[in-house]
Amino acid sequence: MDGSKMSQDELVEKLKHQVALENIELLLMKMSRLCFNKCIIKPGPSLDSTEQKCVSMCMDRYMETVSLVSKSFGERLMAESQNMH
Amino acid sequence: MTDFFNNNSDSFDLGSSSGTGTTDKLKADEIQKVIMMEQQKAQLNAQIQEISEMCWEKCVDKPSAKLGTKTEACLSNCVKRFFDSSVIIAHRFNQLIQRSNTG
Repeated sequence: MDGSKMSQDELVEKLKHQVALENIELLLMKMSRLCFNKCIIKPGPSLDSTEQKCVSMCMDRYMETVSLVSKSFGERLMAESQNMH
Repeated sequence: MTDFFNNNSDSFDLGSSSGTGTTDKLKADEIQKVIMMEQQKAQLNAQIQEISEMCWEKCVDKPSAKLGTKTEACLSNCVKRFFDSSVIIAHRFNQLIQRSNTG
């Protein structure tokens, strides 16, 4: 009897999984763009070690930035919604 | 990363409806609900991503080993001030619309 219910749960899981994958892809593209802009000022014949280091650090810092922004954003949303009640 | 919003996302329980009486209509409603929740989450996520990029451009100069307290404060202020600006824009827009309706 659980045959159809299983497939429903599976569908939901698939949906969430797909959304998560899409988010990751978007984040990767954004980080590539932003860190390329910040770190590779004038593209040479190869990435030198300074550029490579910059790109890695840039990605780490950007992830921290998103997490900080998410926190501030959430706090502000909470505060707003409390003001409304 | 966006742990703040993930808290409510997984509280979904679709396994509670007992098997045999479940109609297709009910299933469709449940799936609709999940999709709406996911859409809302996606919207919030998109907003966070956009604000992150804006504040990153404003606050982070050259990526280094740490963000540093100054940059962190800048990011936090950036988010709050962006909110404030959006509120002003919304108010102002409302005023303009009302003025054009009455005038």
